[in-house]
Amino acid sequence: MSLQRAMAIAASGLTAQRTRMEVVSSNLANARTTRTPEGGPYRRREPVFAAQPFDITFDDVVGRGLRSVRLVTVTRDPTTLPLRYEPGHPDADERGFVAYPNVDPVREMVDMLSATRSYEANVTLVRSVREMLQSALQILA
Amino acid sequence: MNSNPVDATVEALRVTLGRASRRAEVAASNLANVDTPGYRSLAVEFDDLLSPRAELEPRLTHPFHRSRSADRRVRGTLLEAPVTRMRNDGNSVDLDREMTTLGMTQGRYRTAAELLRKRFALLVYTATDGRAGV
Repeated sequence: MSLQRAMAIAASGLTAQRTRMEVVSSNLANARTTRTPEGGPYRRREPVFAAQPFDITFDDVVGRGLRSVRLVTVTRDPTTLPLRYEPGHPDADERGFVAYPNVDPVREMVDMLSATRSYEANVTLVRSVREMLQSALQILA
Repeated sequence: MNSNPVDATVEALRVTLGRASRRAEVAASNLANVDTPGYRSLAVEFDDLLSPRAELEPRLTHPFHRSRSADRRVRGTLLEAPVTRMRNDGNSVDLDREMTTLGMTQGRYRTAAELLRKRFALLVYTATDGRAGV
């Protein structure tokens, strides 16, 4: 039934936005991390999403055109790391500079707000569809 | 004599419900991909309910009439929505438009469901000699 499909697609959107939020919190939590298992300071993470056909078994044109969303990968931001002169820091280089993560808290905040709004949009859809299903149940009530 | 088992009102409301579900699905697709780079917003278009291509079952008024097709599922044409907003990453989902469409779809669905409820209530009313309430 198509309303259930709408719910499932919205669920993929909720998952995607929640992942974005997780990435933002990872970035903010590690805004000053100078040691990571892979070596060097933490690099800003960025999720990459892709639209994918929701269900290829659809035998109608509209169904085939619908797209859910899927997390492809989480990339590391390769931009240069800001250096700060802190000679006393254990991770300082021979000239006394410490490389800090390329995390910009302002940018993360904006991302967080954007993820929240998009999440809300998907929640609104779930609510609307639920209301529609309820009114369908009322038909024979 | 009409050999069509379903009356025209119920049939029209069935199509209305199906189309509203379709619109909800498309809105779901657009909202799920609100942040997907390169995703183009989708829209669905339907034939006029009175056009011969619409999903309504034509009235069979003669014993030799054949049902037009067994397939009475709701059809529609999926197309790229007109671009009202385009982000640098090629995403064209317009959140305001999606929300408006969704609200209208929800209202339409609810209206059709309510009308259908009344329609069946009328049948029950008739079937019970007016003893069951409408």
